[in-house]
Amino acid sequence: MSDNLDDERYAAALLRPLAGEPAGPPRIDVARAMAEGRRRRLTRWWASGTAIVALTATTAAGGTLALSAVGRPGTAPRPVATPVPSITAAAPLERPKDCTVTRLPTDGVAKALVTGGDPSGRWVVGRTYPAGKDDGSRPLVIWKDGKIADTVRIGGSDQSFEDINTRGAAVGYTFDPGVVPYAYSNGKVTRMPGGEATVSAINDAGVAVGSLGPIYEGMPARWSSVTAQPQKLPVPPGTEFGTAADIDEAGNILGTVQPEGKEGSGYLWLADGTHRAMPLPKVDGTKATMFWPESIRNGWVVGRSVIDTKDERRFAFFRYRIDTGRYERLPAASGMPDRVAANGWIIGTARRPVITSEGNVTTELPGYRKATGRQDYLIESFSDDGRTAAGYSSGENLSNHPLLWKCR
Amino acid sequence: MADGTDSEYVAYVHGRAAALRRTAYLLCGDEHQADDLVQEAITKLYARWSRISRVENLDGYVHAILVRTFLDEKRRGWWKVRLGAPPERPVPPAGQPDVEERAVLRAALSKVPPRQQAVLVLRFLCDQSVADVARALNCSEGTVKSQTAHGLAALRRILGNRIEIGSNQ
Repeated sequence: MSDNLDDERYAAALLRPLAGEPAGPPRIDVARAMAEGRRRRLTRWWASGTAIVALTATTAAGGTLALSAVGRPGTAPRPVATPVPSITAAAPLERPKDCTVTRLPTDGVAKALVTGGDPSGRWVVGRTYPAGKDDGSRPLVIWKDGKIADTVRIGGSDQSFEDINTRGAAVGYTFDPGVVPYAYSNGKVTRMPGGEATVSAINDAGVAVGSLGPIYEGMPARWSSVTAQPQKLPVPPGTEFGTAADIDEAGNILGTVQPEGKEGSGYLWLADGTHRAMPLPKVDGTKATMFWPESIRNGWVVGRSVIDTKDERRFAFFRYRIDTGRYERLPAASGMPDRVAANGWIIGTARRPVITSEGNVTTELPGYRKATGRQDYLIESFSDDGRTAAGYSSGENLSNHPLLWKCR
Repeated sequence: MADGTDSEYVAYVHGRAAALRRTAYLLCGDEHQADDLVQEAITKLYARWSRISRVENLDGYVHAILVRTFLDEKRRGWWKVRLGAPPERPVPPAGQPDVEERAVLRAALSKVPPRQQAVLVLRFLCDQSVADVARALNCSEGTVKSQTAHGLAALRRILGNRIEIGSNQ
């Protein structure tokens, strides 16, 4: 019947009867999509005590960026400090005290956010959204000790600095139209080598990590300096995409690799040259499907395990020690971990940011009082002493405030 | 996580709803299911709007969300659930050869593995390039080509000699 047609023409002819337009008016409901989408986005609004459950176990190519989870609006009492019984009661546990929050200055710009910070807690990077005509270009800000140290204009659109080190050297990328990596130092911006790439982190030695290729579809890479050609990091066979997300001072690199057709899971490229997939922790006797790491510092990694069942996706939160290879499940009051400090303390987000210190004592950080309505808090930086954090609030009306928390 | 604005999202969705619905309809062959697919896709889009809105090829990205939603729903057997509750749609007039042909074709297509179905529909009903389909399905162009060949072979096998190409032209 089709011997004389090549496959393509045959297929087109065969399927042609199915062509056509759907009849009737569409039934989509944009308001409902936004309400439900917002609900999925607000993962941080759960009360306490149970794992977060997502009803949709699907993600697009965003990989670990995709975060569809359902929180329970907080009706339960706020998490409070829950010291675990200690045998050596004589030595009081170290913990953050007298925490305060301030809005970082923005030179009159109402909407601004924090995108990173350094291990000393002195440097913070972010971007602003000046009022008026929006051409997609975002002026970047560098704060030092809570004051604006520099503002930077980079070409392209949706620019960001992703990280800054204790010397004030920052890295980030812009869309122009593909992703272009940039470095900043002493008021000067330079394009990083490597072509289309994203850069995620830089350590004090000036080593940067990220991924080469289109955003979300690149391969993990390391730049020995911001002027050096990047080198691809080794990945297991069958890897389709991957990214290096963070690096510690020893040079250990944390990232994810994504086998073809699957979602990514945690991967480590250690300073000694070895590399391996992060093991999958067990949660209540069930081995996790994936581990999604967030941050590495001084040999500590924090992140969350993912367990997929037929109808839902469950998360559990962990701290992992590289040298022992052991996972420690975090108490529910710790929230979803965002960053780990050199001393092993963790900052996460629940209803508000929470620091988990020695003995798994949790300390909730204050919210920003001038932000009206319900707020989400997103943490982008945590100092090595676990006493300074930077991030931003995200309100119902899509307002953002860049915030700096300080504790004693 | 709120870089993109709500008004941008609303404008975007209104601008693309018809195209998305058409693709969804061609993928699943049913208006009601197409609406459900688009609804789920735009919900996912909103949940990620602040990150996704800065992706360069936004249309391609949203399209990919839609296709993967279709595949995920197929995998989860959602279709079977839907079949239990017949939607109130007009019954096509019987006796017309093209209606019968469509029904036979649609039934055959639904027996082809979901990814191959998607490849066939996107390429030959939505006229998408191999590269676009590869992007939507998050696979290589070679995979799209092989899935096309496999899907077509499966369709031929299922249909046997029941459909004569061009009988309707």
